[in-house]
Amino acid sequence: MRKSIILYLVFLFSIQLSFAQTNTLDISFDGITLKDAIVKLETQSNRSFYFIDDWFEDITITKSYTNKSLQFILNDLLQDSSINFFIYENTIILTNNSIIYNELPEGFFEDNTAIKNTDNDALFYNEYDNKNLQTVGKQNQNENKQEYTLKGRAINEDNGTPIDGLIISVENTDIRTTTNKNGRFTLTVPSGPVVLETKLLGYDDTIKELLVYGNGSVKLQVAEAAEQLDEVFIESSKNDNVKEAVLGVNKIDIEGLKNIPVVFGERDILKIATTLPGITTAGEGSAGLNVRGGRADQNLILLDDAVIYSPSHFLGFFSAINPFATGSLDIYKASIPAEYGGRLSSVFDIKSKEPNYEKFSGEGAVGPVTTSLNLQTPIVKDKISLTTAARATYSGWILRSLDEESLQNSEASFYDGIVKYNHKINENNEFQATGYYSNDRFSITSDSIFSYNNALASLKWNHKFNDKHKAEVIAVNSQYKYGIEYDAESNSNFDFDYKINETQLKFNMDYLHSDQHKFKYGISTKLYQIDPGNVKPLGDNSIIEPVNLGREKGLESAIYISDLFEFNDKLLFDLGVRFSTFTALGPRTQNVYEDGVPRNESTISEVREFGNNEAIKTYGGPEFRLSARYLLSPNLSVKASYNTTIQYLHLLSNNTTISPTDTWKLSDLNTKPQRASQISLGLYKNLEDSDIEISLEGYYKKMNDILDYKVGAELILNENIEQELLQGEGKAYGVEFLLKKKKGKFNGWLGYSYSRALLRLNSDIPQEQVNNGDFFPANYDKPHDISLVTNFKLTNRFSFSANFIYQTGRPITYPIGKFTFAGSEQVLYSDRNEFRIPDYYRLDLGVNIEGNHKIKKLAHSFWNISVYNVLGRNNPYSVFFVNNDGKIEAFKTSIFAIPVPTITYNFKF
Amino acid sequence: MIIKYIHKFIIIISIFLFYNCTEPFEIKTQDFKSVLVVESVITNQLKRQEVKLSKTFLLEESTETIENFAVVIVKDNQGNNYSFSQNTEGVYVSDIAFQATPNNLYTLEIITNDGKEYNSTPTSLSPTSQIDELYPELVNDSDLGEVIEIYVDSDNSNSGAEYFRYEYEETYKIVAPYTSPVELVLSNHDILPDNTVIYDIGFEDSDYEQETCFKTKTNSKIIQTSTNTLLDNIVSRFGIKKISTTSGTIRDRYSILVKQYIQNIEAYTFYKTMAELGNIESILSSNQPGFINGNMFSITNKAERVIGFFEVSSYSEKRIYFDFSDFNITQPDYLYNCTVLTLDYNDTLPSFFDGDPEERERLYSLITASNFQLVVNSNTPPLTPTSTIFEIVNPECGDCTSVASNIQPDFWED
Repeated sequence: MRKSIILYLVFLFSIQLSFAQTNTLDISFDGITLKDAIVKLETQSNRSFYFIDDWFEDITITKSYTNKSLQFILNDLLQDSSINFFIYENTIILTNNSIIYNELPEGFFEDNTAIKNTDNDALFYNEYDNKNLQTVGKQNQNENKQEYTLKGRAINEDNGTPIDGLIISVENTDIRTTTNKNGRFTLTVPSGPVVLETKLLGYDDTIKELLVYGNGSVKLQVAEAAEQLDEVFIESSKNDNVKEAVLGVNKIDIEGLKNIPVVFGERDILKIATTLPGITTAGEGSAGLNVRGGRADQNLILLDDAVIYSPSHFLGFFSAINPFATGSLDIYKASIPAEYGGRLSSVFDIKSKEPNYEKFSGEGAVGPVTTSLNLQTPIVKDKISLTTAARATYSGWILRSLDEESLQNSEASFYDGIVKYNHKINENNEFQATGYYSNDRFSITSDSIFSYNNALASLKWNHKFNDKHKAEVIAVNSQYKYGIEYDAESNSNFDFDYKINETQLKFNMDYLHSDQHKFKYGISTKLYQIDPGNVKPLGDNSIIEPVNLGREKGLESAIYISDLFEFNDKLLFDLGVRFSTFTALGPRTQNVYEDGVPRNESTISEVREFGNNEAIKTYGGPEFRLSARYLLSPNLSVKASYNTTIQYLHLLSNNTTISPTDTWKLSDLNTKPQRASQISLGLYKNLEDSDIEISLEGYYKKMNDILDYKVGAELILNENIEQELLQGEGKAYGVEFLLKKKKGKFNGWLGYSYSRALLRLNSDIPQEQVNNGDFFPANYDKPHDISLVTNFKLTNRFSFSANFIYQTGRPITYPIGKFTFAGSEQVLYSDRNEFRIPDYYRLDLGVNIEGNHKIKKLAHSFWNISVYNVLGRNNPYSVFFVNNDGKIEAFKTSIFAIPVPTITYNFKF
Repeated sequence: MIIKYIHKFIIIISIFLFYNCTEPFEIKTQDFKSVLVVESVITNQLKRQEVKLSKTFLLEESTETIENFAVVIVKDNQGNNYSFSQNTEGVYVSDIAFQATPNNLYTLEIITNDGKEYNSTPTSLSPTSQIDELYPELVNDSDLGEVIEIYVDSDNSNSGAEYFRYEYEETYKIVAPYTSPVELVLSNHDILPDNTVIYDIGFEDSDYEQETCFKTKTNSKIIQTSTNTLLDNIVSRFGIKKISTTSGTIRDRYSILVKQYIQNIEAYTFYKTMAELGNIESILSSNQPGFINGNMFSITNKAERVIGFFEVSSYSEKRIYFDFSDFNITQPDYLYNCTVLTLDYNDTLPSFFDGDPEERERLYSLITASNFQLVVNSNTPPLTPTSTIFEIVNPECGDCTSVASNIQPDFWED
C-alpha cells in the first residue's frame, strides 16, 4: 500500500501524461483471474505495471479484445472494480480507489477561495493515515455526488455466519439501519470519510472507517462479545412470536446458557427447557421431560434430525448433549410441524453448532465433573468445514472421592462426542453429515459393569432447484443400547443387553408457490428394530438360562403436506396434514387373550406365529396440524391451533422418572398406539421495539391409550409384557404465561403456568382398574410452576445471574395404614397419587468474571462461579417405605439438599 | 435374579452419587381406612388348617387388630364344608383336621361380624414338590463378609412346581457364660437416720435351668424364588438365610426348619409385589406403589377393598442342625455383651472421699431392679455366709431365661 501512495504522490506532482497511446493489442482472457489478466496484459503490452496483489478481488475474466488500445482494455477490465489506472509513458500505475488527477483542483493556489463541494473534492488517501481505513467505490473524475449507496454484509468474525439485526449507524448523523437475516444492509452515506458504528447485544461494538468515493460495498466482520455476558437467552427473530402462525414454540439459544447457574457447571439445554412454562420434569436428577401433561416418552428429541433416545448422563443429572456442540434448540409444544411425527407431546429439534467456514476456532470448559472442547476447522475455506466436540468426565473421580468405603472400587464415568462435516458443494447443493456417540459406564462393585450408550448418524443433502423449489434428503440411524455384565465369583454370572435401532429415510420439499402460498411436503419411512432383552450366561459354571426375547420390528411411514397460507396481511394460516401408518412386522410370536379377563398365562386363547416381515398388525390415521394467526396490531396477535398426533412407540418405565434401564416397545397386536389431540389459543404482544415479549397461551389436550402398568409390574425381560400393561386415557389443560426481556443490561424471563395432567385407568376387570376408574393426577402433575431466570450485566467483565424456581409438589401415593401379612408389617397405600410431596423451590446464583479484553489474546476466557440451591432448601424428591425386620420405616430423599458451589473455567479461541 | 441386579445397580449409583440425602421421618396416618386383611394357606398336610383375619391399623401403631367373631368356611367342589373357629390367639382354626387334595377347587367364604361377605376365587392345590437338600455352607458375602449360608435344593424336573415361597424357623441353643448354682437374695432394705443404707444378704439355690436355653425365630421377610427362567426346573443352591460367622446364634448348636410352599402364578405375584412394595430400595426411581389385588373380594360392595390371598399350597419341610465346629471357624462371642461387676457391700463411701463409687446401694439396685445375677466360678472367691464382695453380671449372661426359653423343644437333637 505504501508503495502506491508514494508512487501516487510522485506522479501527482510530476504531471506528464500520455494518453496518446496508439499501440493496439489483440488479447484474450479465458477464465483467469483479474490479476492474472493484468499480468498477461503486462507481458503482452511490454509495459511495466505497478500494483498490489491484494487489490484484486477473486473475479474471473473471460474476454477477448481485438485491435484495442491498452487504455480501452484497462477501462473495460477494471470498470467493475475499485481500481483506477494511470498510464505514464511505458509504465502503468494501478491505484486502488484513487484517481490520479492530472490537474490540481480548481483554486488550489488561490487563497480563501471558496471551493464548492469541499467535501467532495479530491480526497487523498494519505490524509487518512489509518490502517483500518477502507475505501469504498471508485473515484471517478466526473462524479461529484454528495451521497452514495453503501451496501454490505455483516458476518460473525468467529464463524463466518451472517449477523441478523446488527445496528449500523453513521457517526454523528441520524443515518442508521439494521442487517437482515442474511446479514445484509444498505445505507445511504455521504461521500468522503464515514465512520460506521455497529451495535448488537452479544457482539463487540465496532467502528469501521470508510473513505467513500462512490457506490460500493463493504464487509463488516464483527466479533462476538468476548464472552457474551449479556447474551439473549431465548432467541427469536424480531417479532417472530407475534408474526408466526404456530403456537407453543420456544427457541433456546445455546450461547446464552453460559450465564445460567447450573449444578456442577454442566450447562444443560434440556434443564433450561424446563424453566419454560409447560415443560416440567419429575424432579432433579430425572431425565424425562413432561410437556403439557404428556408422559416422558412423548417427546421427539432430535439431534441434527436423528432421534436421541436417552439424552442424559448419570441417570439424568446431566444432559447428554454437549452444550458447546449445540447451536439451537426449537421446542414445539403445540403446533408440531407436519414434517414431524411419532410422538404425542412435543418435538425438541436440536441443531448442532453452525459450521465455521472462515477460520479455525474453538471453545471449551473445565468444570468439576467434566472437561469439554469444541473445535471448528475449515478444511477448504468457504466450502468445507469440520466441527468436532467432545466431553468427558475425569474417569470415575467423583465416586472415588466420596468418603464411602464401599465405593472405593467403584467407577462412574461418561463421555460424548460429535463430529459434523459440512460441505457447500455449490450454490445449489449442500451436504451435511453428523455422527454422535455418548456413553455412560458404571462399575459399582468390581464384579459388575453397567453401561448405556447412544449412537447416531445423520446425512442430509440440501438441493435448490430454483428460487421456488428446494429439496432436502435426510437419512438417519439412531441406536440406544444398555448392558449389564455381572462377573462375580458365583454361578449366576451373566451378560444382559437391550438395544433399539431405527433407520429413517426422509424427503422434504419446499415449494414457494407465491407470496400467499408456501407449501412444504414430504414423505418419510422408518424401520424400528428392537432387541428387548438378551441374557447370556457368563462363564462355564453359570446356571443362568440364556434368554432372548426376540426382535421386535416395525415400519412407520408418513406422508405430509402443509401450506403456509397468507390470507391477507392480518390473517395467516399454517395448514398441515400428515398421514402416518405403522405396521408391526414378524418374525414374532404373539399371544391372543380372552376378552374380559385379566391378561395372564392362563388366559391366553391362542398363540400366533408370524413369519419374517409378515404384517402382525397395522395402525394408522391422519394427523392434523392446523394453526392460524390474526394480527390485531403489528405488535399484537392472537393465534389458535388444533393438533392431533399418533405415537406407535412406547417407553416402559415403572418408575416415576425415566431411567436408562427403561425399555422402548413397539405397538403390536396387544398394544395399541397412543393418540392425542390438542387445541391451543394464544395471545402475543411485543413491547418497546420487541425488547419485551409477552405471551399467554391456553391449551386442552386429550390422550388415548396412554400406557400404564399394574402395581409392581416387572417390565424388564418379560416375554409377555402385555400382561403387565394397562392402557388408559389422559387429559391435560393449562394456561401458560411467559414474559421475556431479551436485551439490555438486565435480561431474562419469567414463566408461570397453571396446568393439570390427569389419567384414567378404567376397566371392567378389577385388577386393571386404578382408583376405581376415576381420573387421578399423573406423577408429573404440578399445577403451579413459576420460573424466573435473570441476568444482570454490571460491567463488561462482571455479570450476575439468578434462577428461582417454584413448583407445586408432585403427587405421590402415600401409606394410609399398616397391616400384618406373611409375618411382617406391610403398608396399605392410598389411592394412586392422592397426596403430594411438599412444594419445591430453589434459588441459584451465579457470577461470571471475564478475563481481560485484549483483542489479540490467544484465547478469551471467563470464570463462572455458581451456587445451586443457595437457600439449601431440602426439597423432598420422593418418599418411600422400607420393611425393616418386619417394621415399616419411612424415608424421604432429596437430591441437593445443601447449596452446591461450582467453579468452571471457560475459554474460547 | 437378573432383574434384581439391574435394579440394584441403579439404586446403588443413585444413593451415593452427589449430595443425595435420605433421612427417616415419622409417618402419620393422613386418611385412615380400615380394610379387612385375609391371610390363609391351606396345605396338603393333614392338620387343622388356619385362616388369619385382621384389619389394617394406623401407621403410628404397632399392634395388629384381629377381626373377631367372623364366620369362616372353606368349601370344596366335592360338597365338603370346613368351618373354622377362633383360637385363643384370634386365629381361625378348622374344627377338624383336613388336607387339600389335587383336582379339587377350594373357596374361602367369610362373613364378618358386621355382616359383610367376602369370598375368594376358587383355587386348586398347587403341584407337589419336596425339599431335596437343605445344607449350610461357608461362603464370602460382599456385604456381610464371611457367612454361613443355608441353601435349598429342590428338583422339580418331574413336577409342575415353578413358584416357591419359603418360611423358616431357626432355633438355637443359648448357653449362658456366667451362671451360679445359687442366687443372691437381698432383703430388709432400710435407710438409717444418718442416711446409711442397710440390707440383709442371703443365698438361695437356683431352682430352674439358667444355663441352657433355646430360642426360636421366624423369618420376617417374604422369601420366594421361581424356576421359570432357569434351564432346568430345579431350585439349586437357593439361599434362604445368611448367618455371619461372628453371630452369637451359632455359638452353640443351631437348627433351622425350612418350609416350602408351592405357589401358583397369581399367589407368587401377589407375595412378590407385596415384598417389593415393602422393600423399596430405590431412591431415585421408585416403583409405583398402590393397592395389590389378591383373590379375595367383597360380595356386599364390589368397590370395597380387601387385602389378601387364599392359597391352596402343597407343602414340604426339612430341618437341619449344625455347630460352628462343623466349619473351620472360631467360636463366636456370646450373643450378648456381658458386664461383670465386683461390688463390695462395705464400700459405702461415695467417690468424693475415696475416688471409688459407693457400692452398697448399687449392688442392691442391680440385683433387685435390673435382675443382675451372681457369678460363681473357679476365679471368684468362695462364698461364705459373711461374704460381702460379690461378682455379678447382667441377666442375659447369668440367666438365659431372661432372653430365651429353658424348655428344650421336642424336636431338638443334640
